[in-house]
Amino acid sequence: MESNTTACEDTLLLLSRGLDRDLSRTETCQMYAHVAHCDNCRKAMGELAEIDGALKALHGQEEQAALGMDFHAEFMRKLNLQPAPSTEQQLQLFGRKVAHNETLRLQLKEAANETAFVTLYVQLGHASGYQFSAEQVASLLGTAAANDELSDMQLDQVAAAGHGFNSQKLLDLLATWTPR
Amino acid sequence: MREVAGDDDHWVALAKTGDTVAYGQLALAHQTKLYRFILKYVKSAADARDLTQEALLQGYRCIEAFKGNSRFSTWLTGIALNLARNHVNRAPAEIFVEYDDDGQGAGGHSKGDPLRALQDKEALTSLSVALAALPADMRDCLLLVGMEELSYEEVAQTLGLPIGSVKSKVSRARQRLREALAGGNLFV
Repeated sequence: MESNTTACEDTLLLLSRGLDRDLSRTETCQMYAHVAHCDNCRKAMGELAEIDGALKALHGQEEQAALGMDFHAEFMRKLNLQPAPSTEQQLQLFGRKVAHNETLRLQLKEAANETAFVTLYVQLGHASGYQFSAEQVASLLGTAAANDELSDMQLDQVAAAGHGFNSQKLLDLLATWTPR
Repeated sequence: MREVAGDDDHWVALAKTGDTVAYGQLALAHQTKLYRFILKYVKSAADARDLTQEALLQGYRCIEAFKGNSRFSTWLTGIALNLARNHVNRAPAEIFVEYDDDGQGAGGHSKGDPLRALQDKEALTSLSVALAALPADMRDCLLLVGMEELSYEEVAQTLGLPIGSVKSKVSRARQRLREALAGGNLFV
């Protein structure tokens, strides 16, 4: 069954790709043009189609297989037994939850200053089932502030506008921070 | 509970916040397809069920690694494939079981013809043996493209291969099956 010509080798690849509907119109015409005058490749075309059908028949039984009704319940039991994330990880997860939750974000934007923000952030986190402390949040924000690259001009602008506290900036930090 | 693929993106985003209920929805949507895929490698239903559970749990543990560059189902299939391969490598005798049909046979040729039914059964058994004898990478590509109907691109992403390699491996797998089955009962 070896292909003796490059054209046959190319056609065998086209025949395979054709079964997977991966051919352009030009390639399809090229394939049929070769098959029309090549007995070996015409035979290969038929055999590949038979194999394709047989594979589907072979695995037909698996395609009808069903999981029992208890599978999902058993899985959820195992899922809920997974080790609880650390408080640092929970802080990260809550940050992501806030990023996707308009209600939480609006509540946090009402905070008047950073202290109120941190207090509210911890309360909302605990209410949502996450465990982390105010010290962890404050420490994270303090570290981020220390690494902040605001220029002197930008700092002056912030002070002049009377907006020393920027809740959106804090939310962005908390949403993107990752534990070390 | 109905299994509906629904909005995977929504559930994935929530699952990444540690929401196990959200991940449970993803599991429910994809568990049966995953199970049927694993069954193609691991003939024991009990083992396939255990591996399906393990694949879903690994998906939860590693959900950070899912970047949304492929369908979530494709990503899960990659995890399942890895587990199935490991399982097969530990117990290679399990990857092949004699084909046992219900009288329909390949393409229905055997309807009403007991001799043909026997020939079809033998042909499919031979196909199963030939499939098991393929190099693992070729067999994986062929099953993912031919049976799971993933695109070449999805298979390339799942297996970390160039698309051209996937096309070539699928083609070579089919050619090897042709060669292995030449002279047998499959080709009438």
